[in-house]
Amino acid sequence: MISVAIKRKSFGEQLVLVDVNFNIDTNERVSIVGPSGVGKSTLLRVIAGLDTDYDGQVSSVKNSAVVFQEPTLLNWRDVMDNLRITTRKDDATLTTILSEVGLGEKAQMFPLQLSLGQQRRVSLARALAMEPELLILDEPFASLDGDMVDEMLSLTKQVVDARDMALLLVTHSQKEAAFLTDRRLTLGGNPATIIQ
Amino acid sequence: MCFYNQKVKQIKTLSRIISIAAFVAIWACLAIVLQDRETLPGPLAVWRLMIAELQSGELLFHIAITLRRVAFAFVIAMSLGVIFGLIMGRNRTVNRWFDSWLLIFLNLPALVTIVLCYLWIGLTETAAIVAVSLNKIPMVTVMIREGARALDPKLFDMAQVFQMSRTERLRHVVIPQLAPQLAASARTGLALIWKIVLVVEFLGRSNGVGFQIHLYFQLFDVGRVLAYAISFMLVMLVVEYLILQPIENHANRWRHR
Repeated sequence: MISVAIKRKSFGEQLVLVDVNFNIDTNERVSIVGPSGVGKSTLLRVIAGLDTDYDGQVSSVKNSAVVFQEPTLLNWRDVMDNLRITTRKDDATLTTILSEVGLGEKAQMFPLQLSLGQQRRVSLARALAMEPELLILDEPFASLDGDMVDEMLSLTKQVVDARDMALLLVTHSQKEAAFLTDRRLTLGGNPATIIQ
Repeated sequence: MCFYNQKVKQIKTLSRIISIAAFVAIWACLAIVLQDRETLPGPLAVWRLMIAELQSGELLFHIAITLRRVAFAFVIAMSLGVIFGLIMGRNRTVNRWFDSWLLIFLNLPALVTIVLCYLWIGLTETAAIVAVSLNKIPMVTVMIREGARALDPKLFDMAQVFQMSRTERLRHVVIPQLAPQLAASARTGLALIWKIVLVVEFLGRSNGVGFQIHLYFQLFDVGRVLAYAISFMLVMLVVEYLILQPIENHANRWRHR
C-alpha cells in the first residue's frame, strides 16, 4: 500500500536521511520511533507529500490525512468551520465525528477558547473526517500532561479501531508506539536511517 | 467583573467627552480673548455657519463629492497595495527587484505626485484619484509585505495536506492572518487619503470640500473654512466608529477567550 525508499534527503550540505526503506500494508499500524531532532518529522513530511526534494521514491495512497504536532487550526473560524472548510464534508458527518472525539458541544467555539487537549481533538476529528486510507500522526501528544496523554491515547486507539485505515505514528515515546501500533521502526544515526 | 468592565467603559467614555468639551472651551476662550471674528470665530459661530451651509445644500453636496473620491482612492489603494504587498512578501526575488521602487514612492512628496498627475493626465477626476491612490499604495504595500513575511508556514502545510484550492487558501488561511495589517492600513489609509483628497481638490478640482476651503481661503472667510473642515472630520469620525471599528471588532472576535 505504501512504499518508502528514500536514498538520500538533505538540507543543503546537511545529509539528514539515508537509505530509509519500509512498507506499510493496508490497515497496518506502524510507528517510527526516535529521539528528537533525528529526522522523524522530515521523514513524515516526505511521506505526506509536503517535501518532494529528495532522492528516492515514495508511493503513498491518494487519500491520507495528517494530525500535526501542533493543532494547526484556523483560529479565526469556529470548530465546525475548521472541519467544514478543510474536509468539505456535510454538517451531519462532522457533528458525528465531533461527538466521537468528545467535542459535540464545542462546535460553535473558536479554537483559542478551547484547551490544548481539545484543540488536538479538533485536529484529530479533522483528519478522521477525510476518511483517510492512511492516517499520519506527528507527535500528536507532545506538550500534553500525563493524564491528558493517557486520555488522548485511549481516544485515538478507539477511533482508529473503529475504522479501516492504516496508521503511521511518528513519536519519541516507546509507550505511545507500543499502545497504538503493531510494528515499530526505530530511526537513528547521523544521517538517520531505519536501524531496527 | 462585568460590572467592573462596564464602569471602566463609562469612565473612558466620560473622559473622552470631557476632553472634547475642554478643547471646545479653550477654543471659545481664545475667541473671546482675541475678539476678532475674522481671524478666529468661536465654536458657536462656526456651528451656525455649518447649519447654514447644511440648509443651503452646499455642505452635503461637497461632502458627498469628496467622500466619493475618498472611497474610490481607498478601494484602489487598498486593492493594489494588498496585491503588491502579498507578492513582495512571499517572493524574495520580486522583493529584491522592487524594494527600491517602493522606497522611491514612499519618499515621494504627496504634492509632487499630485502636481505631476495634473500635468500629465490633466485637471480631471481620474488624475485626482490616481494622485491620491499613488500616495497611499506604497504604505499599504509595506504593511502587507511585513504581514505576508510572517505568515505561519504550518498552516500552509495543513492547507496542502487537506488539498485546499488557491482561492480557499487565500480566503481562509492568508487574508485572516493579515487582518491586523489590513486593519492598520485601512485606518491610517483613510486618515491619510481624505487629507490628500482635500489637497487635490484645493489644487485642481471645481467641487468638493477641498475646493470650498480654497474658495473661502481666497475670501479670507475663516469661519466657513473651519465649518467645512470640521464637518468633514465629523463624517470621517462617523466612518471610523460606525464602519471600520465594527468590522474590526467582528474580524477579531475569535481573539477573545
